[in-house]
Amino acid sequence: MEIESAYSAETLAYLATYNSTGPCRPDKSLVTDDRVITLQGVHHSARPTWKLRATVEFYRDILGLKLLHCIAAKGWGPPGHADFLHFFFDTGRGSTLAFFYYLGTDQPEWMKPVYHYMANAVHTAWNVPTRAELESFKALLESRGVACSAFTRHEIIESLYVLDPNGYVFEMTTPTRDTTEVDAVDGNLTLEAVMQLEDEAFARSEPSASSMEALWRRKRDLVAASMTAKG
Amino acid sequence: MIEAYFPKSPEYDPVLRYLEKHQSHCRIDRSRAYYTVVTSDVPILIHKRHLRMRTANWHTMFAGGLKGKIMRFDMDIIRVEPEDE
Repeated sequence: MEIESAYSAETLAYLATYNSTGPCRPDKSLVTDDRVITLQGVHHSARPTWKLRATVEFYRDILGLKLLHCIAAKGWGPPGHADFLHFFFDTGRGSTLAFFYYLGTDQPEWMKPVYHYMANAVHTAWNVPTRAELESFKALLESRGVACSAFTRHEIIESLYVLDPNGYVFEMTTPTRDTTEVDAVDGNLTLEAVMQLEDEAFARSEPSASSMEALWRRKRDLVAASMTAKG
Repeated sequence: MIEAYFPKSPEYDPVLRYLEKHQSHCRIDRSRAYYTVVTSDVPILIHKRHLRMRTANWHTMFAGGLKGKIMRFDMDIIRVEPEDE
């Protein structure tokens, strides 16, 4: 039975263009007004699974995240797209943790979790309002046989990590304070310093900005200049 | 001279208290917006054991900006020397 692709001709054309040209190359000279994109939190953060039962039992039955919705779709997408489940666990305040389960497929080697800090950079940290709750969650999960990390104190958050049955990092985090205007000003200056160093590295055919000492030195120059500009 | 910029965030209060108490040669200017500016004509030595500072923040000690030569930066001590003008 033929099922019409859920992707429109325009979408398929866009995907073909994307596949031939690669990611977006931003041109900020096209920004000619002050309109912005305003987002309202996370709807869903999604990843694939090839361990359906273990995933459902981990998130729904052990962690206790309510299953909100499960799509079972046939014939979606471009030719060759597997039929799939797409299901959503409640992570609070309108946000969900979602999974895809592709029927009749094997997990490709390139989709298998790699245990390396660079691979772990791809993650979602779920908000837990207080340290007391974070502690109670750790105790609960450990009582249910889930290995938990120690509490990790970052700059302005404190986190607890567990690995789910897929090998994905599940981070729960408590902010230790709200971010301020100082953080935003400082953060933009840090990024500007590194972007300048990156531009210079690219001009020398080097892969990236190379040293924290160089960053901190450039940052000093930018901060000092900004103070001079303000008088 | 050494010139270090510390964002006016509570994470940097311990090091500023430390510099006032243990590195009295440092000049500390709190009059600027967003950053406290520390300058010194002689080396600055910071012992982690004297700070009540998160380890994560120790690693971002000079993220606000630094003019100076880092001669040692490990889990116990940071030593910075003046940069040639």
